[in-house]
Amino acid sequence: MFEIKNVSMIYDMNSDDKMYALNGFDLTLPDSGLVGIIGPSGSGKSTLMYVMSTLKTPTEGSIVYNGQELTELSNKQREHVRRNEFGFVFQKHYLIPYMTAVDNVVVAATSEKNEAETEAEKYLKALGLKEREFGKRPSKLSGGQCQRVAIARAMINNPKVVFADEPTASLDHENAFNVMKILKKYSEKRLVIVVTHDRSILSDVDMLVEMWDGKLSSMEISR
Amino acid sequence: MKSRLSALKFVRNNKKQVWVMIIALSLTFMTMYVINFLFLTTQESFQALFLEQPKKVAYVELSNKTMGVDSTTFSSEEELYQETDKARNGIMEKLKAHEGISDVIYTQCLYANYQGIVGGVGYDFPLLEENRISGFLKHMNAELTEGRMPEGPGEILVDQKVLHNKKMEIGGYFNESTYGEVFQVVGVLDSDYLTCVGTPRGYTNSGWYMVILCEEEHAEMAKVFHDIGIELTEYDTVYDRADWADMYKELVTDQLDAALLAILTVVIIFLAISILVAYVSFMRSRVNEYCLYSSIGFARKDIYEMMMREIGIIFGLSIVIGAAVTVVIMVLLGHFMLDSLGLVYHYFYPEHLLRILTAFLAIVGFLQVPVIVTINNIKTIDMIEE
Repeated sequence: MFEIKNVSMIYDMNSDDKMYALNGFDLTLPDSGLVGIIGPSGSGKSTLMYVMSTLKTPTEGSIVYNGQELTELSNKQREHVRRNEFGFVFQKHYLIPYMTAVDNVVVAATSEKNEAETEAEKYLKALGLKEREFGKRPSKLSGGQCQRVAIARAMINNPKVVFADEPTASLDHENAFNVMKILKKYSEKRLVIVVTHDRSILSDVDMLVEMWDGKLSSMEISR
Repeated sequence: MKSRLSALKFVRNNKKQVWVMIIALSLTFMTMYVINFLFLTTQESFQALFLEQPKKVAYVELSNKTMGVDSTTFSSEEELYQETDKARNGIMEKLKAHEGISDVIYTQCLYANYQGIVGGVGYDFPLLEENRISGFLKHMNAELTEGRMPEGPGEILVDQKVLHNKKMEIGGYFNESTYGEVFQVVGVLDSDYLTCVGTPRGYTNSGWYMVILCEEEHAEMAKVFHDIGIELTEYDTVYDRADWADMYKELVTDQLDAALLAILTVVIIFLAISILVAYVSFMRSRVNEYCLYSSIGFARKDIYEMMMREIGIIFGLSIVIGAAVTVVIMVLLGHFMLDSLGLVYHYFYPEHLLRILTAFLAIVGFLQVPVIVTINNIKTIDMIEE
């Protein structure tokens, strides 16, 4: 699904002391499965996720997604890909504080309102939220519940790729385990890319990509 | 693909913030319309005096020179008076023969004051012999609705609006502070021209005038006098249709419009700044929300349209609520204040409603500045997290 070739991302391009977040990075990812990207802070793992998801454009290199060169897309095309083919789970949940759990999921949906609401409730239920919690605002939900709402929001359009950046960072061990279980299940038919520095949550991944200083340091394929 | 960026969600779920803006805007709408209403009530009330009454009656006092009397050629004042009376009577006869002039009476006049919400205006009315009053009332299309006709000296008939305006009743003394208990109100008139009339009693300082009862087409005295061979000059005192129309423009329309414009400009500037400050603070509290939308693939245009729909809903509701509150306030003002002051008014002024709506539209336009700045500064979540 993804073919990443010689991708570099340089910050402070104009300064003498250029900083490489990614440095000639190569990677090929399958259409489905749970991919873990691990590395210490500053290793470039989040930057890799952002360039793959079109949130950032790499300084050089090629990222081909389903035969489409992502680095050559216009802003409008990038928005279209993000909206229709990708789902996002960010480090913080970024739920909209004045909306209910259901509305926070529906806000990302591309389908009609009623259909989207039904789907949102289905996802929230599958993710372990109780019906009485559907109408609650984020301030009335626990950290784990908020993260599950964020996951439901990422999945509402049944995207081909879910990008999850430190999805368990703010969760306790039990909740972290549950979130990973949900992502694992989703990865049976779709591609889920989890970026983390916590190796313990990646015990179930199909592919483990280890990064160091903007480069691929090792790769393990489990299936 | 249908955009899910609903403006209603923000409006429904942020009632406190939204209602603060709606109430502020509604009250501003109400304030602007009511200020307009009070100013225009004054203008409209004065129209009867400045624009309508002079269509029916003119007051003229000619100088000796205009009447062809050379005051230096007479040895006594009595001789001079006799000559001026003679000259005046001759002119009055010619005037009476002029088309559109039904009567001309040289008489003493009394001064009436009519107070608007903003400012007041004074005007003269004739003191006539009892037997000429009916004819005057008929000419002025005035009808006695209460009390009786004057039967003796110093008795006054007063238009009901003027009576209310002066907070007087039948039996009260007209201009009591100036003349004491001299001119007593004996009847109330219903007229279109704030008509007053009475019988003389002693000397008043309002002056003596030729009271010329005319028709609308012949209410400009310069032309009428020209027709009878007299050219009016700056030494003549003339209160006719043209003179009152000039005064109306100068004293009422121009001044009130300028004052109204100044007040409304201050209100609009104050409102625009307040709304801007409030709205910018709302937007700041929603930066993460906009970033999320952008990150998950909504175009800036979608976010802009959502924000504009939110503004549209807030302003739309404000106008509806503001209009409802305004109607209530105006009915109360009309009933408890304007009626008792005998002022002329009506509730709906489309031109000024349009002016307020334009001001609101201008403020929406003004809000484009922070909205566009915010839209252009929207980041994606990767930029926030870095």
